[in-house]
Amino acid sequence: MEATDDAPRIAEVFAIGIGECGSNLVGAYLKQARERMLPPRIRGYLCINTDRSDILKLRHKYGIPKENTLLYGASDIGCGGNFTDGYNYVHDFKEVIMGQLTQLGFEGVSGFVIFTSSGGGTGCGGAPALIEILKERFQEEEGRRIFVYVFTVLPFKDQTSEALNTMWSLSKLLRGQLEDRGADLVCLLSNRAMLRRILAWREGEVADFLQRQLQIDVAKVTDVEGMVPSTVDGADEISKAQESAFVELVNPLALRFVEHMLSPGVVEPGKEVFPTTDIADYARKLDPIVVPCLYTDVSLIPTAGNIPTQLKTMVKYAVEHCSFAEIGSEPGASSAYYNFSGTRDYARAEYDPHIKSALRPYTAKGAAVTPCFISYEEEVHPTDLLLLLGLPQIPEIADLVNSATELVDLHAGPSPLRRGWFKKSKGVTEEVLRAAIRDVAELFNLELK
Amino acid sequence: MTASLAELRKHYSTLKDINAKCRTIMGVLPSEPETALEDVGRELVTLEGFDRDAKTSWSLSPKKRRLNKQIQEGLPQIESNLSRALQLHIGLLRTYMTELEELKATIMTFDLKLGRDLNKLSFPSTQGGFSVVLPVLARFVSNLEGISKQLRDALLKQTNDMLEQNRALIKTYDRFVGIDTSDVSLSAERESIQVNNITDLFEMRQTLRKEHEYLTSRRGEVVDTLRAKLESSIESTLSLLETARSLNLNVPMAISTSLEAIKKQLKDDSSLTTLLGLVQQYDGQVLKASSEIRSQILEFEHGLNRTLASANISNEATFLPPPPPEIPKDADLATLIASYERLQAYKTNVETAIRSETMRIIDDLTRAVKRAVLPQTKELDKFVKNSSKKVQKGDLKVLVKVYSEVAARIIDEHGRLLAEIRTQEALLTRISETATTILDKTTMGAAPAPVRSSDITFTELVEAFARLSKHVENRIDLFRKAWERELNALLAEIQVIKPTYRESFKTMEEFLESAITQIRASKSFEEIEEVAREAQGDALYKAQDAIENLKYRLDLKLRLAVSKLLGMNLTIPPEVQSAIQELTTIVPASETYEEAIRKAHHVVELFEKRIVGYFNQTLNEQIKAYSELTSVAATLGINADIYVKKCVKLQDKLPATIEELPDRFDELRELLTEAKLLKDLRAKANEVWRNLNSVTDLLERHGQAEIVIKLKELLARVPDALETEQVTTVLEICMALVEAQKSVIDILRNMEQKTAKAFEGLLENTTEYYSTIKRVYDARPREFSKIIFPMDTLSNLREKLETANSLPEAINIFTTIRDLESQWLDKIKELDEWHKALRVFLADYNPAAPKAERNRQLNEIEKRIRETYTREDTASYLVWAARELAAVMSEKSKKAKKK
Repeated sequence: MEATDDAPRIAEVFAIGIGECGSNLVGAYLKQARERMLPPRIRGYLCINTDRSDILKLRHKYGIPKENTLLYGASDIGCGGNFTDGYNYVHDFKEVIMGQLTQLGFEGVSGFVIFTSSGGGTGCGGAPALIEILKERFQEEEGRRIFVYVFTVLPFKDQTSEALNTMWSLSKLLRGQLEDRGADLVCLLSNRAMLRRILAWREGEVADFLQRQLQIDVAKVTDVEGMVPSTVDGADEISKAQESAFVELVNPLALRFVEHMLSPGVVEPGKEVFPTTDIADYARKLDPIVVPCLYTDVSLIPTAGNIPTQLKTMVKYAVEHCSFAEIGSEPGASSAYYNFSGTRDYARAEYDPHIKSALRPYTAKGAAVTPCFISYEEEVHPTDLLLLLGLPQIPEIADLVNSATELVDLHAGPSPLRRGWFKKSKGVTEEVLRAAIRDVAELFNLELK
Repeated sequence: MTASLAELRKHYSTLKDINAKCRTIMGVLPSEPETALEDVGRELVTLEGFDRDAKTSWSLSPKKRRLNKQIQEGLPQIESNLSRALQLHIGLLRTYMTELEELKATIMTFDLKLGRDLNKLSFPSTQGGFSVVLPVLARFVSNLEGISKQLRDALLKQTNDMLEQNRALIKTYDRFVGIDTSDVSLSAERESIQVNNITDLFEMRQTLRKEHEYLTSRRGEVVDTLRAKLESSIESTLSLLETARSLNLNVPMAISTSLEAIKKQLKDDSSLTTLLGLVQQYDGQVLKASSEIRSQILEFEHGLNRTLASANISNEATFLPPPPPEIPKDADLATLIASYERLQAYKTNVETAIRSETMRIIDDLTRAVKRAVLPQTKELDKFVKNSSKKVQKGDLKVLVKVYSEVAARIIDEHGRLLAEIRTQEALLTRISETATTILDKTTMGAAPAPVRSSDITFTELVEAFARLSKHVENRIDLFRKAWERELNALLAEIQVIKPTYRESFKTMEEFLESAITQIRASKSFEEIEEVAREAQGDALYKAQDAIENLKYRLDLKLRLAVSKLLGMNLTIPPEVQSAIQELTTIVPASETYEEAIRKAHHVVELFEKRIVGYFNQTLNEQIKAYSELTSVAATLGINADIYVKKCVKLQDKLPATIEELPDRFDELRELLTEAKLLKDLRAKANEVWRNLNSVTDLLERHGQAEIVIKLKELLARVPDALETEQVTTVLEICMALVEAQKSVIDILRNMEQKTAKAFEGLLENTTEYYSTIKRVYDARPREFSKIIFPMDTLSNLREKLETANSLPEAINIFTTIRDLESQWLDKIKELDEWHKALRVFLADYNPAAPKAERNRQLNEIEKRIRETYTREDTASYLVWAARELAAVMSEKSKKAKKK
């Protein structure tokens, strides 16, 4: 479709959901976009999975046409948490996947957003492989630079197997960057943190929803996050339903972030972006791993005076209460990017010094902060602030590192039979896994136990 | 050689004689010799039987031989046994002789001759056969028998004499002094002595002699005692005789004199025999005195019984005391006197009893007299009083006579009273039967049970008669009252006719009243009935006359009034015409009184309700309608007092009589065209017309097109309506305008309510924080109105509209409210924006923290808000809202904890 001045231009971004989590995120995003009549932020999409039943459920639930889905792999029952299988299947079915993408018209796009979970099998293993084949297809075969952003969802608390997969996944994605065959930006979305945000903002609704879905009274449960079971290693139906219920809660929040992140690249009538921001800018200006903070419907009252203080209050709230992964009150981010959107009276570029000043307590010394003001002509438009903090301190990563280490230690030892678990369950050796954990720990300056 | 059977028989007979004599001499013999002798006799009889059989048998027959043989063989045995019996008898006799030998000296002392005879008797030899011993022994026994008999007879006579003598003494002693019979047991116990044994006789003789000596030794003591006793008895008897005399018993003085003489003869040296002679004399005198007294007692008793019998009173009558017991035949003097005393007391008791019984009857009769239930009360009263007097003073004879009279009288009165009761009962039955035509059985009450003829006392009869009389009286009274009611009911039916029409019934009223008075005065049942029935019958004819009269009078009045009303253009509706027609056609002749009265009422009803009533009602309705209109006119501020008063005056004259009706209608017509009232009403109508004209635009703007159309229609009617000269028409249009004005004010109020409600909904939709905003306002209405928005002005205006009376005022308030609402909506949008900030400020608030900590946090939040926002209204609102929300969060947290 050709863009005109009046009609919003279709962004040159293609979305791929891989695995159950990733596909659901894409499906939910599409459904939300339809229901809220949002301007299209993506050019096309594809949901791929190695599990037939997941594919069928996805189609049914989100009304996704068959051509936008793809089943691949050696069997149609998924990878069962074995990321190596997930990784290999993508390579094995590279032609099929690329063929399907071609049919959907992905040629000429400038970037891909890949939705996945960091703890599963199909998505966790498949995402790095998918990036590899995409980079190979465009950069190596066509000589054209593309940007691949990965939105990866960290597992819930106490899901040890998922924690181990996450280590491998993050290591693989970041190491790929070194060879220019990895993700340009990895956005970490923590299920745990997002659930907490939702619980804090919409406590009543969440309780009702969970009561309806799971027949549990959340009001009586102190640690809701800890209730999400692991479904990687052959989970039963109840556990799957339970995890699905929680995922359904957090997915819309994750998608709002995606929507805001892609917004600068989408042209809409009456909308101005200053400075002009491309999707590539995030990758260029930010560290490889970012944690988003989204504060929607910001309360800014210009008529009430004292704007610097109001903006300071806004930033403080965004960092401390709206991050998508727990980063505490002193994250010491290495880089930062912010999108401040709203009507012209609110999203004003002269606020930049105040916002930067307000961000100072949350960034490391010398960290660069890049602004982006998105103003709308409309009289009424919500004021939103999206912060992207590059490589902040993430206590949750430390938890994951510890859980993964414990799991490896559990199965390690001189007995070859015992060590056989690594190959059987994860498809790699113990050493590979330990190296992946080390990679993550070093990146976040964590000490291994 | 063995003796023959015949010889043995002979020996046996001799021994048997000896045995018999031995029995005479010695009395009962020991059994052994007796048995031995009987055995011999029995054996002899057996053998003698054999012998007889042998002699009758043929001499050479074996039987004879056998019998002879048996005889021959039996003879030695008999002989042996006979010998043994003989020896036993010899033994007996020897023993007896030995006993006599021992008594020989005593016998000699007792009777020398017999002693000598006994000495001469020697025991014979017992040697030799039966033929030798038995005859000698038989002689000896005969001699012994003779001597023994003489001796015994002499002894018996002497001992019996002694015994008799001793017993006479014991009897005498016992009579006077008493004696212990153990000291003289033989004499006391035996009446005579019959003993055969000589030895025993001698012993008894000796004992009797000793006992005689003992008795003789006590003679002096007996004499003293006997004397003393006799003396005492004489004195006692003399005293008793005195007592008897004091009781009016006639006892001859000679007896007392004789007793005195006996007393004088008692001396210290008197012998027992003398004393006993005196005792005998004394007994004779006592017997004489007793006999005298007994005969007098019997005479007394017979006299009493005769007196009672003269009045036919049995001495066994229940009201009499039981007679004293009969005097025993052997009663002594004291007993006799006591009996006489009892008899006298009995007589007194009999008198008392008869007096009491007579008084009881007199009392019964007195009660009857007092009740005055008997026809011959006066005579009876006199009789009762006389009898009563006699009874008080009279002796037994008088008493008995009075009793006899009174008893006869009460029987007589009883009969007469019973007859009277039967008459009353019959009357009662007659009343009951007759009264059923006007009295029901329940009202009359149950008839009393018939009075019993027998087994009823006179008093009960009197009471029953009194009750019955009362009952009869009550029944007559009931009957009278029933008739009174009946006639009063007839009267009442006339009296409900209004006095205006009652003149025609006056004669009839008087007639019935007179009959009622007559019944009231009547005592007799028959008289009541006669008067009542006659009055009842005549009432019908009199009623018919009265109706005829009434009809004539009403018809006359009606014709006159109707002609006047018709002259005033008043139409007479068909139902009234039909009533007039019906009135003229009513025929007074009736079958019953009730029918006649119904007709009378119908005449009155037709005339009063359907004819005069119609005109009155019409007039009243017209006055009322006018009165209401003028009252309403007064509410509009028009001075209508004078018209209201005129109306009231006209209303007060209602209902009017038929003669007055034409004048009343004329007065009402004048009121309906009052010029001053018309002028005032027109001015008011014009004023309201202008107000309503001014509101139509506003109503149209608020979608009340329908109301506006109706309003315009009304307004268009006004000019024409005001042109008429009729007060009612002008007032009606004026009222319609005023009502319309009221309705428009109400519509404005409704519009306000609906708009306010819709506005509330708009506010709720405008901001999701509306409930919090309301809570903030509710918590601080005054500060909120001052700093945020003047909510108080808005609510005051709404209240003011509710009470607004004037249409221009209501319109003004309504439009002002709309302006304020518009401003409030703008403010709400602003508040909505502000509200978003609360999430930020409350993010760190811990509702579950202790109160002090929560307060600290809230103070911190307030400080941060005030630092962030310099505008007073923004900062204040956010602080208030934060506090409200914090309170809600804390409350929820508490509830969650409780769960």
